[in-house]
Amino acid sequence: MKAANFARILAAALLLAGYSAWSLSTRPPRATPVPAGDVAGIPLVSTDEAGALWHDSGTLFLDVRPAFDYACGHIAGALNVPEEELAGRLPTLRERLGRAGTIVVYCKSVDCGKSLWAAVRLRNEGLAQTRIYPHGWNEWVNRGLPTIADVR
Amino acid sequence: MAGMSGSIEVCQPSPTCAERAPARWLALACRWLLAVVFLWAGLGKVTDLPAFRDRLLVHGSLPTALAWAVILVLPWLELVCAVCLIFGRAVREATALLSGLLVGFAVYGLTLPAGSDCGCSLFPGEPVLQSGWWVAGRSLVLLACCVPVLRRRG
Repeated sequence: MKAANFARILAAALLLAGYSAWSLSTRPPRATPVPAGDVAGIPLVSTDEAGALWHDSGTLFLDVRPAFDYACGHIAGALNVPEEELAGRLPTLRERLGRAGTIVVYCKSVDCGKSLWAAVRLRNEGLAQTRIYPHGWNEWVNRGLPTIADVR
Repeated sequence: MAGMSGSIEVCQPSPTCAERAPARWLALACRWLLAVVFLWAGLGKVTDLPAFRDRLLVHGSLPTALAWAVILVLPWLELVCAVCLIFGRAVREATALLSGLLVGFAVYGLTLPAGSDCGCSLFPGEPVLQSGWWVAGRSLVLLACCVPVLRRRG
C-alpha cells in the first residue's frame, strides 16, 4: 500500500466535504407546521400529525413512560426518559434535545399526565419546539404505526 | 517458471496456479460487493444531506463535533473509495479505509446503550432505525469481505 494513495483518497473526500458544508449552510431551515390546539401553551399533535412528524428526520420522540414499558414497545426511534428522571437527566440531554427541530413528548394515553408535565419542563428549559402527543402509545399502536420492542 | 513473470499468460498449469484462481475470483467478487454497497450508501447520504445530518444529530448518540465530522466527510469517503474499487485504482488503500470505517460502525453498534434505537441506516430507503446488533453484524460481514481484497497484490 502507498501512502500517496491514502492521501489522494482523503484529500478528495475532504474537498468534497467542503461542498457538503457549503450545501448545508445555505439551505433554508425547514418550517415545522404548528398544529391547532394547545395545553399550557404547548401545541398538541394528533396521531396523523405525529405520524407525519415521525417521517421528518429532525423530529425526536420522547417517551416518558417507565423503562420497562419502553422496553416492551415504543415508537420507533423514541428516546426513553421516564418522567421521574427527566429533571436529573436534562442537563446531559439538553444539547441533544436542542438539536431536534421538533420534540414530540408522549406517554401511555390521554389518561396519563406525564407527557404534559414533561413537556412543560422542556418548555421551561427553552425548548420551544416541544409538542405533546396526548393520545400516546396506545393510539399509536392501534393505528399500526412504526414501533420497536427492545429485544436485548 | 510459474508466477515469476507476473503475467497470467505465461502461468503454467500447476497446483499453485490452480489454487490462485478461486482466490482471485473471490477477491474480485468481494471488491465489487464492497464497491456496490458503499456506492449505494454514499449516494444515499449525499443526495439528502439534511436527512443524514438530522439522523446523526437528533437520533444518534455521537458528540456534536464528531457527529459533524462524520456528516461532512463520511458520505464522500464512502463514494471516493467505491469509485476507486470500481475503476481498480488504489484498491488496497480504499479497502483499508473502508475496513477502518466498518470497524468504527461495528464498535458504534456494539456500544449503543440498551434501549436506544440506532439512527444509523446505511442505505437509502431502508428503515432509519435499527438495532445496534444488526449494524454491528452487518459491519463484521462486510469487514470479512475486505480480507480477500487486502490480501491480493496488484
